[in-house]
Amino acid sequence: MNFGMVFALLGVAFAVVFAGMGSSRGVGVASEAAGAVIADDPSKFGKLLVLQLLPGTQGLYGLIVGVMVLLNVGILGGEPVTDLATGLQYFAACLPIAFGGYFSAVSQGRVCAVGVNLTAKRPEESSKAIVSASLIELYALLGFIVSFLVVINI
Amino acid sequence: MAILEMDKFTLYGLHSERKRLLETLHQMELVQIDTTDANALALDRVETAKKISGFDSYLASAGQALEILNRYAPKKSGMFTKRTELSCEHYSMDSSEASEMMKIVYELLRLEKEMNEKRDRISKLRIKQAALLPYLGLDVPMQLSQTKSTKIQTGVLEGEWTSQRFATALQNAELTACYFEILQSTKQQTCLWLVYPKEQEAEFKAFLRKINLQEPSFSLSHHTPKKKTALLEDEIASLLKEIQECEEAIKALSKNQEEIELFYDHLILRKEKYEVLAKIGITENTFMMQGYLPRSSASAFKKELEEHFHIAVEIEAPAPDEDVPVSFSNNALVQPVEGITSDYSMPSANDIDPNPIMAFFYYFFFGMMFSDAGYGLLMMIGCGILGFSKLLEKKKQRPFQMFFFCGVSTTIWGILYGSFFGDMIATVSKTFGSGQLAFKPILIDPVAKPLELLIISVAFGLVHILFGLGIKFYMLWKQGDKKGAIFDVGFWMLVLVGAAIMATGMGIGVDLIFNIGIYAMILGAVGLVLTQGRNSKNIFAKFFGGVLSLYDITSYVGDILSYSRLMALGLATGVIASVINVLGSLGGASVVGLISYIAISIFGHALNFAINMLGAYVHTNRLQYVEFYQKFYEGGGRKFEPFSMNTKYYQMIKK
Repeated sequence: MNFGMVFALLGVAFAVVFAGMGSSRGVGVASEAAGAVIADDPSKFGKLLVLQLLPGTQGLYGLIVGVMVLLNVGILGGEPVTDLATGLQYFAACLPIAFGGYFSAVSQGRVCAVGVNLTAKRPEESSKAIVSASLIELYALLGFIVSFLVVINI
Repeated sequence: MAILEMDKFTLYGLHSERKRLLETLHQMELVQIDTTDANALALDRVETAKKISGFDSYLASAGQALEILNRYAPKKSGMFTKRTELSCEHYSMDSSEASEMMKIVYELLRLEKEMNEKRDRISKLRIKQAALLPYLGLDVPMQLSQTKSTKIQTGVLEGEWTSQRFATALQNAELTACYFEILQSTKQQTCLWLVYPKEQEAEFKAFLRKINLQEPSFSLSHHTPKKKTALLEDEIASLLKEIQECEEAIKALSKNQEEIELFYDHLILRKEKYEVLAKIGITENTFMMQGYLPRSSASAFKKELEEHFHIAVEIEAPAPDEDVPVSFSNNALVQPVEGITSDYSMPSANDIDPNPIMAFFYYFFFGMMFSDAGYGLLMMIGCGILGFSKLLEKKKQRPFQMFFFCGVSTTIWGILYGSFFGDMIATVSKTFGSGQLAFKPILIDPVAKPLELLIISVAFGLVHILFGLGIKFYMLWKQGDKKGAIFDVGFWMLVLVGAAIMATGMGIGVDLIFNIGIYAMILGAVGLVLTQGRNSKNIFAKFFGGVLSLYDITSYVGDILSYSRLMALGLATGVIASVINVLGSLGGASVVGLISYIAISIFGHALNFAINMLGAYVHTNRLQYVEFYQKFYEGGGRKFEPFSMNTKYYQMIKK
């Protein structure tokens, strides 16, 4: 049995699943808050949409890292992984975006939910809510970049 | 620098001209009017609170009326709505016209209320109809409760009862002389109609209690259920028709929409006037008004007013400790970023205008983070059109102008990084062509050499921070605190420059440069140790204060490393774009592959554009606010907000 491949694919699963889970929770929390506001004033939908979507980027980063690994390990392209060490390397490469993505998405979701309330009360300050939420984005991005740099250099 | 110089004006006039003067100032949109300290001058005030709250409630009603019109007779509007321009002749509205408008507004509100009541009524009728549904099979009125010799009972039983089950129950109770119909039977409930002889009433009542028969929970009609349902339907139909009529009436009133909008704007204007009126001080026949205006237009202002009014205008330079409102005046390249600074804080009296330097770094860093020639071009086209054409009003053009310049910088950095929609050219050429075309980076390929990019980013960061410190040095020096300038700022600059020289020396392996850097750093550090405790009296406290100040190096290191985001975000744009290209090209060189490539590209690049543009914007702001402005900017100034016409639908233009 080829454990190298198993670990590489496990890495893909980690990157996609954890980042996706984080994004789901984040978008969920933000959208719940937005739903309540939109019920009162449907015209705010456009303004709130950005806040609802912001925690969704982590899932995208996870997907990209996952696809990059698949492109390298012989599923979508590249050479199949044959040894355990390489497989573990791919696994390790996926961890930054998996966990960085998960936790940043969850807390970004909370900030977005607060931002939704801020926008409901003072629509003219919605850009400040977006800025606050985007500050967290950086840490997901850092995880993504490290994951990506490791994957392409294995 | 480019902070507008302000003068203070004090104006004395007669009540008879007050209204006309206020209107003139309102249309000038030139001066900011501050609250006159009436108490200190033993002046009275005009009572305005009631008027203003009255305008607020009118405004709310008019706003609601417009909303109603918009709901039932939506006006077609383009993507970019621009206020219609009107000459100032329309500034005032006579009271008969205004009360006419108010009538229409109230009529609209009344129609809306009526419609809502009718809708409520309909839903109540629908509920009644639904309740009748199980009894539709009954061909006598439900109200019928007895005949000459029988009693009739209609009711609901819990659970599913078949006629067999009910018959058995009757038999068990030894009650056979009766007739019943099961009208409807579901898992939850069964509707029953029962006729029994009057003489057996007591027994039947007891039996019905035992099986827990409930009376229907609504008032029973003297029509048959079918008839009643039809009657209800008629009522609903007539209500619907009435609603339709209300809607028609609203639509008919929509021809007044523009007038109502104008009325709404008039209410705003009148409210604004009263808000200013609240600020002035009055005596029996005269009033006094104070405020600020740009020095450049002060003398023209005085001349113009004194020509048209019986009025005294005093213009004076504000006292040094006065809280003068601040306004910027910059060239077209710098102007768009003024909003970024005022979002942070307006400059204090000590501050210089940071915008000219900030603008350069703003565009520079934004481009470095977004860094894609394709996205940059898109931004230039989109924001260029919105920012410089006449599609939008002047005030709304500013942000688009800023993003246009950011787009220029993004395009330049994209070329330097060799990124055009990521590696789109290479991917397309590889998938669908010979594979020889590629867009080569001029400066550096971020994916291949992230470490070099990191060093470049941090170096730019150091330059940015040195500029910040330089401004602080200049500000202190200008204020006469030369010691502070050299000791508190100069020595730190020496340390940072020394560190940079040292790092360069280490990087290129020249010992001499390395040593120069070391000595510069040591010199700066010694200077700091010797001077930072200078405010303490005790010699030991002086020394420890100096040594402790070196601890600030951690915050400088943190600040400089913070610029690594220039690398991170720059890398992310290109990387995500490239992955989108790879995903798109998985379909291979076929027609299907081409279609999937186009579809995936459009969707993916749009997403990437949105995410990374937002990221670049936010993090550029952060670098200015946290790393740059913290070094020198005091802020806390008051924004110059001239008395002007902030209407919603029409823009009043002075001839």
